[in-house]
This record gives sequence, structure tokens and C-alpha cells, in this order.
Amino acid sequence: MYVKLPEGISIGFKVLIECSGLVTISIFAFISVFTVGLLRGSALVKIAWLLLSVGVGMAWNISRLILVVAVAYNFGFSAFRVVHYFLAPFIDFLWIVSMWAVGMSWLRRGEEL
Amino acid sequence: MIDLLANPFNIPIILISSIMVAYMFRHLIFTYYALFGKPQQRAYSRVAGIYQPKVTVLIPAHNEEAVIGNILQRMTELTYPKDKLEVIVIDDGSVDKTGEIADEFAETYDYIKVIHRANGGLGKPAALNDGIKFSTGEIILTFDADYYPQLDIIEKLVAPFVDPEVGAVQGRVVVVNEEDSLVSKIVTLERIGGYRVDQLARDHLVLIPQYGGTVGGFRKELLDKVGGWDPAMLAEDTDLTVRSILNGYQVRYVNDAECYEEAVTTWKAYWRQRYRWAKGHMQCAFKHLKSVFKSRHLSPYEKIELTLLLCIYFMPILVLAGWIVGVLAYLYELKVTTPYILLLTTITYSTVGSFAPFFEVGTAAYLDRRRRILWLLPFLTFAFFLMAFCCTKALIDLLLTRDGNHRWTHTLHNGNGYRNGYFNGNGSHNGGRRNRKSRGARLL
Repeated sequence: MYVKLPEGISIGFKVLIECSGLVTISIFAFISVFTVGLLRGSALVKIAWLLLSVGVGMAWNISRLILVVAVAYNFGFSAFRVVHYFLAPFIDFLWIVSMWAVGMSWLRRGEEL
Repeated sequence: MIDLLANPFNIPIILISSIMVAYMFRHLIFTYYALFGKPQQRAYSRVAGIYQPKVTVLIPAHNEEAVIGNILQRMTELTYPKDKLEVIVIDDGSVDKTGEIADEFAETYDYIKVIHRANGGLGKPAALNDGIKFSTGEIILTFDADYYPQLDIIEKLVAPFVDPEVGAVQGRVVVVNEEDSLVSKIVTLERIGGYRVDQLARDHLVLIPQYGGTVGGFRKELLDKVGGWDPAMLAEDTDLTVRSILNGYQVRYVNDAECYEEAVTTWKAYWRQRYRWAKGHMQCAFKHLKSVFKSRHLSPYEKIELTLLLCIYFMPILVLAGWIVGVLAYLYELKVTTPYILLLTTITYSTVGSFAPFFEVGTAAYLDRRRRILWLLPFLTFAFFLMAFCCTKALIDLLLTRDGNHRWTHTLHNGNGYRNGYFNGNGSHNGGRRNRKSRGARLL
């Protein structure tokens, strides 16, 4: 994707694997098997939770990529670099920790019912 | 082979990442053990109520008029035989009605005594040491004035002392006013994680549970041997834990010995409390790390665990340093991302930043059947960010001043935990929810 920056130059953006969020999603899925996956509770709930988590993770990361490109278009390359660096950990943190909370809350609720 | 010296950022990044990975594994091992592990230590619950040594309960109090009456009333309701119980209130230079209220109880109950320290106000350790001088019990337990114990907590706490190798014991602290504010909710989550997973796993793995300064105690023989609490230490509880371990004693954690505390409710109070803890812990680390490595009483695992425990408040500083190094490396386009470092930093960030500690706290809430509070897990981030700066300030202050500031810097307790109805009519606890007696009954 080519974006014209405010500086007047056009620059090509390519989503590298390490910036795509796929690494985090893969680690999350892997660790989930050995964490939430081992807790007591319905397998169906766990699978549904994992699929939802992966979906949420992908959605958040796509939003992040769109946002950083938009920042580059509007505010230039320097702003892009800063936002790109800070946004990824923050976005990942938000969806991962929230999904932990959702997963364990679902499983606990399932046991209480 | 990586040329580590090719870039000045390589070594700090590898060092920081390695330490983070060590803590990550610690979190995960503890969490798994709390979930699936079987205790490697004996459970002493069978002797609870049968083994009944003479017990002295020390309650240091400095301007605690709002809460002192509640804990003393509770002391009169405990199920432990009163002929084997001695309660000593150390009124440490209070200028409010703390001393008067304690005196009233002492007049009515012969097992309650009050020590008035005219030259008090110099801190909890000094007050406790004065309390020991007047104690006659074989076991010394301590409770803060704002705490509210279970009726049978003494039986549960003294049970491990049937084992002569056990020198200290710690019970569980449960936040009573979790619904007061976001801060008290965050403290609740931290407490659940810290006790339900961290302390329990350390106990089950025959590692080193930590005496937390309250809701726990020591064999008097041990206190005499090590010279009591060290008034020069800010984290006198951690200091005494380490000195007990270095003297060959075990510390045990009793998860079902619950005591209820009034947590801080504002960020300012949270900062002050954590600042004191961080500074005190670091002080202990500087004092004891060398002795820990040289100790003959400790196994290699115990040495590693004790080192990680003593250095835990350095961790947020390392995270902050990691961010700064990372930002500089990124902004100045330094090529630090050799494959191994990329792998290490990715794993570190993914695990420490998002997975391990939060999974630990989440698991603790899950095990505690606390479904609603699980939703607040992401809010722990605020506390995490605050701690990065709080610990950095604590370290700088400690290095610059070496000032212990050993006067009472305790949190103001207003007694709202009692007034707001967190305890039901018969004095039991409502699990952080107002006026819901059923849960209170379960906790008793």
C-alpha cells in the first residue's frame, strides 16, 4: 500500500509478520491451551472463547494497522514511528488481558450454573 | 553466534529480558501449582483446635481510635481458650482515644493488657519489640488494629507450630471494603493473587511463604534468637522472614486462616503504601542477598526463590528501563533485533506484559469463585504503571538518602469497613458486599 505523506513524498507500507499481530495471537493461542484450556469447564465454552479471542485479537490488530497508516497519512512519518511503537503493546495488552478475564469468568459461571 | 558487543543495547536488553523471563516462569509455575499441584508439605489442619499452646496476640496501635474497639471486641469473641490467650495492645504514643478504649477492654477482660509507650510513634517494629518484653506466650501472633479476624483464626494459625521446624506462620488477608472505590477493587485483586496463588504455591512447593507483618506470627524462641523486629528496617516483616529462614526455620502459610482488612481507597494512599513497601523490600534485598547466597540452610531452589522474592520490587524498574531502552533503540534505528533477541523480547513482552501475572491474578479470582471481580483484571494496568514510577522513586530515595524514615507512616483507617455494613450483625464478614449475610456465613 502506498501512502502520500504530509511531507509530500509517497511511501510504501508492507505488513511484516512481526508487526501483524499474528505472533502475539499465535503465542496467545498456544499458551491458552495450557492455561484456560486446563481449567475445569465445558470444552465447548473453551473453544468458543478461544475462537472469540482470536477474532477479537485480529480485529484489534487490523484496527491498529489502519490507525498507524492513518497517522502516517495525516501527521507524517515521525508520528507514525512513535504511534506504531507504542500502540502495539497497548492494544495487545487490552485484548489479551480482557479475554483472560472473559474466559475465566465464563468458566466460573459455567460451574456455578 | 551473536556479537553481543556489536551494539551497546544488546547486553541490557538480554539482561532485562532474562530477568523478566525468570519472573514469568515463577508466575506460571505458581499458578499451575495452585491449580493442579498437590501440597508437598504436611497439612496441619487436623491438629487445629487440638494443639493449643499459650498464645500472645500483639496489636500495635498508633492513633487507631476508629478501629481499635472492633478488633478488641473480636478478640473477646475468639474461640481459642481464654486461659491460653493473652492480648497485648501497644498504644504507641497515640494522641487520640486509642489508649482509653484499650484500657476499657483491659479492665473488663483479664487476658487483655495495654502498654502505653509515652515515647512512642517511632514505628511498628519498636512497638512490637516492647510488646514481646511483656508477653508470656509460646507463640507470638500480630494483628494490625484495623484487621478483623475469623473466630477460629488462632487455632488455624498455631497448628503448624506443632512442627518444631516451623518458626513462623502467615494467614490470609482478605479485603473487606472492595466496593468502596476502583483502588480498593484493584487492591482486592492484588490480595487475591498474592495469597490465593502466590503464597499458597510457595507453601505447597516447600519454598518460602512470606510473613506479611500482620495475620501471622512467630515462635517466641525464634524472636529471642534473632533479636525481634529490626527497627531500622522499613519492611520489618520481610526482614524477619529472611532472618528466620537464614536461622534454619520454616515459614508456613495457612490459606484458610482469613482475616479481613480495610484496603486503601485512593491512589494517593495506594502510592504511599506501595512506596513504603518497595523501599523496605529493597532495603531488605541490599541487607540480605549476600547472606542468602552463602546460607547453608537453604537449597538452591530456595536461594533462587528468596532472591526473586527480595528483588520483586526491582522488577517494575526493570520494565521501565526496558521500555526506555526499547524506545531509544527503535527511534534511533539501532539494529538490536538479532533473531535471538527478537525471540526473547517477543516472548518477554507477550508473557510478562500480558500473560503471566494477569493469568496468575485471574486464576486466583477463578479459584476464589470471584466471577465479577475478574472483569476488573485489565484495570490492574493502572497499578502496574504506577508501580513502575513508585519503585523507581523508592530506589532513588533509598540510594540517595539511605533514610529509613522509621516513624509511623501507616494508612489512615477510618473504620468505614465496619460502618458501611461490610460486616453483618453478628460480626461476620460479607465478602466485600454490603448487607449480604449469606456470603459472610460461608466465610466464617
